[in-house]
Amino acid sequence: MAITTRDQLIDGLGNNSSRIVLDKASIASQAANTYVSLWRATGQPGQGAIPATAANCNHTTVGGVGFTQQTLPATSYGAYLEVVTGNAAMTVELHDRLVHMGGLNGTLTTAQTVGIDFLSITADNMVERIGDSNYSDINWWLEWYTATGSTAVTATVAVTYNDGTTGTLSASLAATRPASFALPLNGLIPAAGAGKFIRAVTSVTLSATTGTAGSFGVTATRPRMVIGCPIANFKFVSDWAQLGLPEIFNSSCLFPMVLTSTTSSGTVRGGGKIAHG
Amino acid sequence: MNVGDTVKVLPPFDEHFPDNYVIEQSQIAEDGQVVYYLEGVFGAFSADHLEVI
Repeated sequence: MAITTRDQLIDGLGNNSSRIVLDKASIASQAANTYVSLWRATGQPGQGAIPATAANCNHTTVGGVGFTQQTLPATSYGAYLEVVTGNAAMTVELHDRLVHMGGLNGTLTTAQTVGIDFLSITADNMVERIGDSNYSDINWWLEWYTATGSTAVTATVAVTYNDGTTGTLSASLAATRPASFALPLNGLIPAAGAGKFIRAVTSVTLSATTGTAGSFGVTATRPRMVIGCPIANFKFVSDWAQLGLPEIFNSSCLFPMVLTSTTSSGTVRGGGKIAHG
Repeated sequence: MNVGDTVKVLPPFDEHFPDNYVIEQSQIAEDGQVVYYLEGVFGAFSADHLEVI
């Protein structure tokens, strides 16, 4: 069974849904027009832990939105979302946090192992959660947990593409990347890798010390729901059609990220429903 | 390695910085490591990733 009719959708929303609760504190020291992960923001869902070695995330991981797991053929969908932000001109995204790792050091100039390869990750329903088998639905990020230093450097990210070939991405890191800053990597695929998608991230090498060890890592997510909040302190609503009725696969670890318009993430409050049927 | 030296950038950075560059500035970072800035290139490099030619 899956939700294929409006009647089933209404029944799911009214009688068979899991609640999404969002109530995240603002994170300061950011820059406008950057992505900020709310994984470490306090509130609801709770503050996620800083990972060490690569680990899968799932619906029980602290930091994610828990929801009732379904037994096939019953299915879950993002069906309703309402959000109010403390800052104007914000975009709030709910991603399924697939795999993360941390502990990369901002003072080391040797290759630092990441070790995330979706070719070999099948636990936690990952084959369904990643979407297209060519890995094109996966968003890759460098995510900061503790600020690194003020020296601007280049990070070379060693990747394996969907066709098994390898390459490097070159990421410019301007001065002092703050905790919770998230740098998207997909857009850094060079011309030589055009048309390919990232299957694995093997290592990160910094061109020089940033001056401070800090802590950062690599995170893989899949975006599931997005809502624009152009006005501060005004609640915006998206229904199933505006959300695109995305399937929320069993074991998904939903967490919020924001695209900022100013120097903080701003408060993010709201809720929603994951409809089952 | 000194200011004014011409260097090439070593792997894995050479793919994105394939030319020869002149060191225009050296600096000591907050943790005491020496870093080098190359003409026309964003960001610093450590001596490990450069070779004087």
